[in-house]
Amino acid sequence: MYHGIAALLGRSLRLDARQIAPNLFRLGFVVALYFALLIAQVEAGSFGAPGLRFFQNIAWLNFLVILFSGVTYFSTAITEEKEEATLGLLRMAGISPLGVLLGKSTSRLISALILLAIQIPFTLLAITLGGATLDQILAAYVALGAFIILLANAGLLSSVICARGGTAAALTCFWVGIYFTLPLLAMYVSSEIRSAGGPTPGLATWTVATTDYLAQSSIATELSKIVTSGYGDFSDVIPVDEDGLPLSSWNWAVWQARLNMLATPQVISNVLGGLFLFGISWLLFDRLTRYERPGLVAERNIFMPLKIGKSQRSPVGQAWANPFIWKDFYFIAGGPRWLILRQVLVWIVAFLLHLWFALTNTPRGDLGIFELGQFFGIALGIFIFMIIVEAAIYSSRIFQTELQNQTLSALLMLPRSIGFICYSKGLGCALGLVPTLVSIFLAWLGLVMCAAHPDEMLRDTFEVLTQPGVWGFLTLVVVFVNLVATFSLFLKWGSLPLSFVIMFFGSSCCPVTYVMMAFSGVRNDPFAAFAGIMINIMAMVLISLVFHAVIASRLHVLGSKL
Amino acid sequence: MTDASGESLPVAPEEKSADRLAAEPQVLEEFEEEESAIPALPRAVVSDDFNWASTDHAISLHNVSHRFQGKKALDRVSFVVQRGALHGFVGPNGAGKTTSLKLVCTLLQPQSGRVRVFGEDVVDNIRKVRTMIGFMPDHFSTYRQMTVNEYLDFFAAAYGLAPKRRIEVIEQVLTLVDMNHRQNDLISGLSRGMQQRVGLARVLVNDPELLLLDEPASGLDPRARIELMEILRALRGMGKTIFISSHILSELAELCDAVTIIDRGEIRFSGRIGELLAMPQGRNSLRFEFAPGAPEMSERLTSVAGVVAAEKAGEGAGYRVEFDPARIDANQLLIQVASLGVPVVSFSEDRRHLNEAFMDLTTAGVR
Repeated sequence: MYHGIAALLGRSLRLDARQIAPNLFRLGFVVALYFALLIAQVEAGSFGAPGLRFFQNIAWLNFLVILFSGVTYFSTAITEEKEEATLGLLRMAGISPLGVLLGKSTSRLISALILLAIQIPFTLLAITLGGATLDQILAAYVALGAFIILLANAGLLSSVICARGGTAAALTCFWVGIYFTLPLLAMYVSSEIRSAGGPTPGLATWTVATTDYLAQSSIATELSKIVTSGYGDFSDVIPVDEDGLPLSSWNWAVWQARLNMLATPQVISNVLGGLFLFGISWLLFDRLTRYERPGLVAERNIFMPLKIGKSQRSPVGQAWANPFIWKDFYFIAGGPRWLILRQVLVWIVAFLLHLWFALTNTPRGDLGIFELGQFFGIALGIFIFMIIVEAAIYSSRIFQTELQNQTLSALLMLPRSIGFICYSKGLGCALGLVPTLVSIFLAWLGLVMCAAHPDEMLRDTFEVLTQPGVWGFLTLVVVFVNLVATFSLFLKWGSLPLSFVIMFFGSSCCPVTYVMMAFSGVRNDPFAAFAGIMINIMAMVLISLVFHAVIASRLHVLGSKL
Repeated sequence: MTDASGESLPVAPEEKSADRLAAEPQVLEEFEEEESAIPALPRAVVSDDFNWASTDHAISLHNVSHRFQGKKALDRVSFVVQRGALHGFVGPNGAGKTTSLKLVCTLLQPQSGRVRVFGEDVVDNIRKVRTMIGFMPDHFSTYRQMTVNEYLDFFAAAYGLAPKRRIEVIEQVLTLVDMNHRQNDLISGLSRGMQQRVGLARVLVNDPELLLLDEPASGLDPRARIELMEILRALRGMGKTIFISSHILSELAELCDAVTIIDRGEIRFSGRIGELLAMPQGRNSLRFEFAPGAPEMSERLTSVAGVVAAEKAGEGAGYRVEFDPARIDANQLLIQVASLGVPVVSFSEDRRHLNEAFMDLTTAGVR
């Protein structure tokens, strides 16, 4: 078994070292590190504790990178073998399920942990810059390491269960969602029990203890605690000598205290959770991968119900005069029936969310408070968020579906220009945003109708829409959407999270942001505000055109390769 | 025709019956006329005044060169495909077949030389060319989440067909590829052979004059392959020009009027398949197949006046007979051989197999 593991591990590490994508990813990460250092340097003059700011940036950057890796890199450990139909060959070579799991997942875990370990010396600069302590840094890396172990194994489980990398990534997203939601729920339950006067006789104390423990298991909560000033103050736990003086910080007793502090519920629960998920993967591996699953072609549109195994379905009607709009509206956005159903579902979610807020933020027992205006406010927020998510997902799929189906050459051979095809496809996806736009309008209308002074509400809306900052944000969304579509032509998967990470950090050095910032305070000067809006619109058009030129050229290249 | 026991023997339909030939000597002339009915095809090297832009040429490539990252893919390639022909395109892996096809179907732009489809330059008249061709790549280029009908309707609409016309056209092409009964099925649920038929149907929705098929039979089972060939024959009967790239030489030899052999980016042969398969250096020989159990015939055959040599060919009772055309022609030779007293089951022009010709013309080794 050990030979098999070693062979697989060696192969994976060699492959990882040879491939350009992981190395580019690492390079990008280093650039981000330097960027964080640069920001700390710039901010040193204006803010106190630049080291802490630097440390905070690095910690959150790591968090995002790990999250991104969990969804993409870790989720393909086994699915890549499945997709290449080589898993059976590995099994036939006598490598046990445990061997395959260890061989395939350990290399990725090692790569991720190495990436984490090599940056520690850089992060220690935070101590020199001032504001961060060694204990904070150690605690952050231990917490992140535990989170990696959990996420790597969650990804591994997904890749054992799913047949394809995309589905595995979606399943890992689901696990991540549970991971972040569960502590919040536990926190809520725990606070409810406490506010009701502690555990009642019928409610076992261990339930409270469990919910308390669970509430502390989220990396987000833990990291927020770690990166705040004053974390890791050992003054009350540092052992003292006979004279009552604290022992040297390198004394073993101090290290013991330090270790006790590092072993937080988050660290323990995440590591144990990771081991548990690995065990589940091991248990399921043989059952789920014993036979190849030929011809498993799922409807890989996460917005549409899966149709695996079905040979027929109700037809969607004849194609429109512009069939490209028709195709993407039905087969990427989901078509009218599914779009309407989705709106209804989101309205229900908004209602439930409002109900939850009403229950948690009002005095106990007063459940009758249900403000319609608040409900529409929540719905408006959700739909605005949803339209950005929808736009991003559509843009990631607009060309991906053509590449997956290998239909690009057939499209490019049609007697239509590439621009016509692409813009028509874009229009088809944009049509899929219409129901959400309608919902936004309805939510806004509801908000105006429920307002005490509707005329003020209308004025406020107008003011918001004439703010250059809002247009600047819109410009960033347009850049993001274009970036996703462009990356989808260069990457097999992960265009969406990569674009998000790039936008997250890139927007701070993007000229558009500066324009947005420059005009954000010009509300009282109509001319400046108008100029700000126009500049943003021009930037939006120009940037889009550049992206479109890149997309067209890439499509030509890909079309001739297929 | 009967065997030694006097029972009728099955005769392959494409082979000429010796009895019939003996009774009607003009049959061989008909046979030769059939061959010459195929339009004459120029070889790769032609005279300077050759009209490359003629509309009689469904495809013409003139001095076309193409490189990928400095590596030669096509080197001054020139050949034509006649209108209405079923033209095979063969070559080893990496020979330049797919590159040539992509140049013709406008997916690649030639770096030098000119590519024309029915006289129209593929660069200058790209839109017009695209309406005249249908390209089926060597992979399933299908939207698996669509039904067969939706898929064909999408492409028919993309070619600008009116809704009513689309319904008719889809009905016709599905009938042609025998997929009417599966039109409401999701493509993802179809077998390889069926997906290939759907792909072919897609190529036909705009009624192109020229079909470019890249390895259409690859990965298909024997039945699906034979059925595909039948469909191609039917399409040819409808006047379509078909340019087919394939590795299955036996089927190409059976199916095609003409063939182009490409190797390492250079054209080795382009012309009628008969020319390629004919014995080289003006050798005149016929192949005779005698009834099973026939005695050794070499000596008897050599004794016929005008026969230069006779040798056994193959494992059965087949003989290759070389003759001197100045002393005896094929008709007389057949009559003479038939009079030897041993029943002749079949006779045919002695030809090379396409794979023999292919091996002769291409270089060993993988690119």
